[in-house]
Amino acid sequence: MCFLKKGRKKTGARRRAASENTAGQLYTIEGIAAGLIMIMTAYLVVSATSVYTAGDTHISDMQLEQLGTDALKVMDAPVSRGDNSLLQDIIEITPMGTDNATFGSVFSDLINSHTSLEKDHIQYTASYSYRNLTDPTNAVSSAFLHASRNLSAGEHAVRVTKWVIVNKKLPPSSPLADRAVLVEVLMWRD
Amino acid sequence: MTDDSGNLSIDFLVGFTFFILAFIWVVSMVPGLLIGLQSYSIDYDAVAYRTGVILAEDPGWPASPPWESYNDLQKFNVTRFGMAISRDTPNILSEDKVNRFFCTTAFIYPDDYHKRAIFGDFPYRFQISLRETNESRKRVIGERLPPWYGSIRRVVMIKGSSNATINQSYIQNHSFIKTDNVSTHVFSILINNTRLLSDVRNPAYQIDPAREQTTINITDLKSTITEYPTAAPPITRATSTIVLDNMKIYKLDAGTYSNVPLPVSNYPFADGNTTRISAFPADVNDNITIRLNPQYIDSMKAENSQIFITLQFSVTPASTFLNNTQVVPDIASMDGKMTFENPNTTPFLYDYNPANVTQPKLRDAILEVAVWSGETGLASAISSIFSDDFDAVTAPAGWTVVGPVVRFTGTPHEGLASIRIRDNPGSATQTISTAGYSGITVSFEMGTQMSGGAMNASAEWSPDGGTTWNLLKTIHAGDTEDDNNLHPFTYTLPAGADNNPAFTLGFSLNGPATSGDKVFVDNVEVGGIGD
Repeated sequence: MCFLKKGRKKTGARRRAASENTAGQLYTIEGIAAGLIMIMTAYLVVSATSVYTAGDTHISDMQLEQLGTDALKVMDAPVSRGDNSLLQDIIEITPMGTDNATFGSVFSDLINSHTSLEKDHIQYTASYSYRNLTDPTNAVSSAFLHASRNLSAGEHAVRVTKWVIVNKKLPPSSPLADRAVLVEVLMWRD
Repeated sequence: MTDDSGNLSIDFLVGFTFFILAFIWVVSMVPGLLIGLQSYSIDYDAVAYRTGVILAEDPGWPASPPWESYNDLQKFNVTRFGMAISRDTPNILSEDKVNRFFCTTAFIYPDDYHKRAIFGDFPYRFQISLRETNESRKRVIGERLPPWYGSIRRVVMIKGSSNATINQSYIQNHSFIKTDNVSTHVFSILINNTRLLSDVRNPAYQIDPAREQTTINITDLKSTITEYPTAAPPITRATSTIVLDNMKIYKLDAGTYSNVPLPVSNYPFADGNTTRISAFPADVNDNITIRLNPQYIDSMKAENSQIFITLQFSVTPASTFLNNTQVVPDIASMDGKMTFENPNTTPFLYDYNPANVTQPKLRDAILEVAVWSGETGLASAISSIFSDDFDAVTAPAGWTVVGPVVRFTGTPHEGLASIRIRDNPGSATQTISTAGYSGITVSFEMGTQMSGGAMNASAEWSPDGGTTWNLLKTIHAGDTEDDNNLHPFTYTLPAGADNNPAFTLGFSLNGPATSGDKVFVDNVEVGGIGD
């Protein structure tokens, strides 16, 4: 099957070599065929493997971050001049650590709405934090706002924040004053 | 001949050739190996993101006068779309910019939008949509979405425009009535642009007549006429006639008053009509709406000016009427300083007082940009949403008619009957929900028999229940279609008609008020692709 046997006229030296010892000789066609099969196999295996790159994940994260940032920005914009923003009202009115259903419905509606009437399935948990001026160490305290459900292990969440000025006793034992609180929302896709 | 060990054998050449060929083949497949490592949508997502940022955070270009004030013939001067009211207020969109952006009769998809919002040479396909969260209607530019596309979704707010309503109670509370029985009355309105722009700096809540439409409704005019039925001639609201003689604009700059010509495009509306008064004097029954376009105010260069609007009325017979201005020395040669700085002149103030003016408010909305390329591969099976051949004896039941609109069995008609709209004003409109459908098409047969002059008949569609109209077809008197026969017309409507519960179709006779002019309509059909 090798080229040497395929009818081409052999020289005297080759005829002698062929008749004397062919062990260890590369049989050309078999070699090429085997090589091609190996290359094809490697190609099929590699090309069939889909690698989820960091380039893809950051887009999904970016979209979520943008959506959450927009939603907090919109919630912190007063509807009319001189009004409080909805986010201000929510934080000021809600007793610390109490679930606020208004935040839940408005934020959920903003991040899950499409221009079509379909709804997305983005989950979130929201809280705000402030510097506790009554604490000797000036520690940062946080208060729960609302969660659509709890974040479970393995779910990939992104974090969005917004500074909001509120007039509130923070903590409740301190006097009423304008305070800056950092609203923090963890968002993830269901 | 005895030693050929150094020769290059043919076998080697053949083998090496095979190796090289295989090597080239493998190398040529290397790019294919990397396909599995790249995202199909990464570029589309990036383009969609960029477009979303431009639309939601940029006011567009030119900035002054703003791009949305350019008319259809000037649209080529618009280099970049952007709907934010300013660079300092991202995510807060201008209502005028939004309306202009989604005006598909001015800007054509894809070219006009690609050049000004998508950018680049690659022929992307796209869909840009906006929906206010408290509405089901969405406004759309572009094509139906394919199964896979890159996208970005932005949460935004739309700044509504301010407006004022001067009604009976407001007029009485502010004594805007001249109690003498005279035939000429003048009512003035002051837009203090300097104060408007300096009192509130945040563009999100600022009233800026050069950026947003200024609307002033004056209602209940007849209520300002005090009735004297026993006088000679008797004065009654029912028989008194009101004529708007003129509307003039004065500008006060550095102590100097100047008259600014008012273009016809800014003439007021009378009695709820959807078209402006075309000339002065004009008959008015009870209401006037002043709607000043921002480009008109912008052209005045009135950033540091006070703008006075004067409305001059004639009332017959002479009676009390809406009046808050003492014109000096007389109406024909009015002196600005002596008139507007007169203690007897108390113009209505268009300002930040909520008792005078409904202040701008922000409304939540969702903006989505989807980008893809190539064919969508979607079938375009159009199904019928609505049809009316007017054959039923109850025709034109279901249509809202103005003037004599009747089922017509004479010539022309198809089937058993058509409808005939006769005399101006005359119209037939119907709201046909296209919810659940896109790719809306409208077909109908229309013909006219008109007396001539400036008469015309039009077919229009409205995305908002009849507030704004988009022209489909106009037949002018003397056109070839003005031959007392029905002519078929078919149109594919822009995306604004898609999925729209307020979609409205209308046929009307327009021009001078006449009798005897006729429009015939038959076989109206609205179709769409089910979503």
